[in-house]
Amino acid sequence: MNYNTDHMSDDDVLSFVSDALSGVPVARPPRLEAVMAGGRARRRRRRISGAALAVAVVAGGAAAGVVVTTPPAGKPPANSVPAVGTQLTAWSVARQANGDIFVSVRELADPAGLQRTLRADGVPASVTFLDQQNPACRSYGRGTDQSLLVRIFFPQLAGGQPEGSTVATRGGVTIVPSAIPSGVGVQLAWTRIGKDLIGHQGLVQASPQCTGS
Amino acid sequence: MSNEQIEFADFFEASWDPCLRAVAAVAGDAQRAEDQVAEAFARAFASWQKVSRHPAPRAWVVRTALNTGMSWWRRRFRELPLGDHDVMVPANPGEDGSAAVLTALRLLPARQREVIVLRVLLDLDIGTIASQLGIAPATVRVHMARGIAALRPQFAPGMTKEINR
Repeated sequence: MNYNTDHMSDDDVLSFVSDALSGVPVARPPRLEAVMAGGRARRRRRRISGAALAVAVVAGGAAAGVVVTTPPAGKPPANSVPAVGTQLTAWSVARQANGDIFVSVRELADPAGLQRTLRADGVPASVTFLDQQNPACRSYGRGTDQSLLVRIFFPQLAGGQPEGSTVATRGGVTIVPSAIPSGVGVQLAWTRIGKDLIGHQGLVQASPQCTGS
Repeated sequence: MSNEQIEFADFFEASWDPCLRAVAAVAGDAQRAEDQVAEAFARAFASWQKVSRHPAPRAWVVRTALNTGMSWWRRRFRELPLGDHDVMVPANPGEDGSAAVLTALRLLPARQREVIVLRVLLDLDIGTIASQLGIAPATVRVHMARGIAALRPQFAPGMTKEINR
């Protein structure tokens, strides 16, 4: 039913609306700690995605992986120790002082050699170049939680780095062998887009046909 | 707690209530509004350096919550008239006609409802509402005028006595 309320000012109407809304009981707020934890998780995700890489989940059954843009020539970290016999023209594998492995790819050649070298350094790996695939490989854990990928490939982030730290993966990929679970291998695939070498990292089930062990 | 956390905690404690009311009134779904507003406050904390310097932080939270809800909604439905589920209900519906006001508010077009709610619950001026919604101040005035005109007939004579005392 409508009433003759022409004499009511706009402010009167808004005042009534305000009173009506203010009188409605609403839910109590969530715990402050939970809200801030949600905010901190967002900040961490932003740091990962804002670094010099894009996190992508590959559809269609392939391994969840990380795509990294690497310039053609890569430099291993200053404190790395080149493994004997692995300083080749196309790629290099260097073991760092803390046991991490740094892989730098400059040319897309001899993926089998790189795979053998990594296996010798304790990293079960499937290495392919130029969109070649190894049909014997099976992805490990479809939708693998990103935290495992971070522990293996981005140790700088796994330790809860302070704000402002950056991911030092330009020119190469770091692998943390100690973070790789038993029965799991790393999948490293590089291709070329224009002048850039694009690296894709994921996880596979280790097997003689896939990772050679 | 750090200064940042203390500052955010104060903001959260003071703003949860009005922000939730605003989102629930605009979106029309009190249950979902709770989740949307909680998510918006988490995002506010994640970007606290930016949000704390915003001219209207509460409006930022409300806008973020509404955008979260609209994204969810758009993925599933075209805009539908508000139903009766989980709607805002006054504590004492029969006593002061507030139920009629809330019902009338729900029936307003979305933009008119949004403008009025931001005005009355967050005390935003026309210019701030305009910048928050990404529309011109003149457009805000039009929506406001139309919304008020639609709401005005809902007020019963008993309610006007309250105004005139």
